[in-house]
Amino acid sequence: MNRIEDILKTSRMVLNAWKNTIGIYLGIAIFLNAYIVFSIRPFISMGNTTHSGITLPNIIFIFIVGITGFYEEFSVAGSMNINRRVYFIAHTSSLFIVVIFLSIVDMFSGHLFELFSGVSFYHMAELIFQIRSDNLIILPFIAAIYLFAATSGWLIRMLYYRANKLQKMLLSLSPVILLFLLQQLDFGFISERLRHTDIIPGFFVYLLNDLNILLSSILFSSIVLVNLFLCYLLIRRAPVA
Amino acid sequence: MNLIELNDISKQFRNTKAIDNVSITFAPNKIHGLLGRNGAGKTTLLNIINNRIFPDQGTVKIGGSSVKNDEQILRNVFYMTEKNLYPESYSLKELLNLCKDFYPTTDLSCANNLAEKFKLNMKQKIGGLSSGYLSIFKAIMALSSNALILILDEPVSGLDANHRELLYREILASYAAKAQTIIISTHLIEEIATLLEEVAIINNGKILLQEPVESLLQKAWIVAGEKSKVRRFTESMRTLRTTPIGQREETLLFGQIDNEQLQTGKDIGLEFARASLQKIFIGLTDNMEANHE
Repeated sequence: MNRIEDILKTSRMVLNAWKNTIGIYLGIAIFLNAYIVFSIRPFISMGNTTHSGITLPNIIFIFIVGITGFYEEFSVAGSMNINRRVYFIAHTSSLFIVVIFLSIVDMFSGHLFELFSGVSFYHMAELIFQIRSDNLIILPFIAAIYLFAATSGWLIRMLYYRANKLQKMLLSLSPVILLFLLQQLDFGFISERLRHTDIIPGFFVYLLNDLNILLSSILFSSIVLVNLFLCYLLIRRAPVA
Repeated sequence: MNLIELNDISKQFRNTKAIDNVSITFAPNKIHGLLGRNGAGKTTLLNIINNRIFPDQGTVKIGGSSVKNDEQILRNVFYMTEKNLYPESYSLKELLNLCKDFYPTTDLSCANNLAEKFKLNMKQKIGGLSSGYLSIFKAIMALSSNALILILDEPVSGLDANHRELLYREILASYAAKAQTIIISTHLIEEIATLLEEVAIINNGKILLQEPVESLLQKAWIVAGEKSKVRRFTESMRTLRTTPIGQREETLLFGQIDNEQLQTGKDIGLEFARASLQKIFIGLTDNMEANHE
C-alpha cells in the first residue's frame, strides 16, 4: 500500500469521525440563523435590517474542532501503525476540506436567507473591507480565517499533548499571565503611551482595515503555515500510548 | 522478512531506566514469549518496536529495515496494546472495517467467526464493552488482520478461564495456518508456557535470558530431600531458590545435570523433578532482585 492511499484512508477516517459533530453543529447554526433572520424580517420596513450569516459561530466551531478533533483520531491511526507524517498530512487535508465546506455553506446560506427573507446579508468581510459579499475574493479570506482558527486550536491541543505536568500548568496559566500583563499596560504601569486597548484591537484593526482583503488573506495564511509547521514538529515525535 | 532486531536500546523515563541497553532478536515464524514482572519494561520494549515511543538510543529493525526510516515496514505488524486506544463512540464493526482499510489482508469472515465463538456482539460500541470483551475484540482484530507479525501485549487481560483457553487455541490455530511471527507479552506464564517456542525474560529493563522454551525447561530441576543432603548436592551448582519444608528442603537448580550426577543424587535419597517455566521465571527474577539489592 503506498503513502497516498494511506493518506486518503486516514483522511476518510478523520472526516468520518468528525461528520456527525459537523452535521449537528451546522443543523443548529443554520436553524438558529434562519430563526433570527425570519424573526427580524418584519422590521425591514424600519430600515437598516441586516444579517451577517454564521461566520462567527463557524470560527468558534472550527477552533473547537481543532482542539478536540485530534487525540482520538491520532490514537486510532496509531493503533493501526499509521505513520505520523501520513497522519499529519491526512489531518491537515481534512481540516482544509472542512474549512472549504464551511466557507461555502457560510456564503451560500447567507445569500439563501437573503433571497427568501429579504433581509440583506452583509458578510463580516464585507463590513470590514467595504466590498460586496458576492465578490469571490471573500471566499479565500473566510477560508484563511477559518484555517487560522482551526490550526490555532490544533496547535494548542498539540502543545498540551506533548507537554509535561509543569508545562501543562504553565500553558493553562498563560492566558491569565497575558491578561495580567495587558492589564499592567492598560494601567500605564509599563508605558504611559502604550495601553492594553491599543494592542489587541489595534492589531486586528491594522490587519483588517489598513490592509486590503488579499493581503489579509495572505497574512492569515502565513500564520496558518507557521501553525502547521509547529504542529508538524510536535507530531513528529509524539508518543502513541 | 519478519525478523525483528533490537540493538542497544535504552529508554529512560525521568529517573527510571525502563530499558537498559537491550539487544535482542526475535526470529521469524515462531511464537515468542516476552515475560517479565509488572514494570519490568515489557510494554515499553513493545512500544519501541512499534515506533509508538522513541528510544533514547539504539535501533529497531524489522526485516532488515529500520522502523524509524522505513515507514511502510510497520504495516506488516499488528500490535495489540493492553491500553485501549479506541474511542468509546466507535462501533466494533466500524473499527473492523478500519482494520480492513489499513490491513488489506484482514479477513472479515474470520473476524465474524471468532466473534461468534467468543459470543461477542459486533453491533456494540467500544464504550459498552467490559474489559474482558475489549481484550477479546482487540485479539480478534489482531488474529483476523493476517499481519506477518503479531504483537500481543497482555492479550488475556480481564478474560475468564474459558475465554483464555479459547484464545490460546485460536492463537495456535492462526499460527499453524499462516507463517507468522508472534510475540506475546504476559505475566500469566503457566498458562502460556505450552504455546511458546522461545522465551525472553526481562527484568528491570534488562533481558535476563532468551532461549527456546524446551532447552530452558531442560536446564532447570527441582531437587527435594533432607536439608543437609540437598545442600551438599547443590553446593557447587547454580541454585535459584530454596524453600525449607520442615526438615526437608526444595531447591530450584539452574544448569545442566548429567546422568551420573542425577544417579548420585537419587542414590542418596534425593528426589528430582522438572521445573515449570513459571518456577524458573520466579527463580530467575527473584534472584536478580536479590543480587540487585
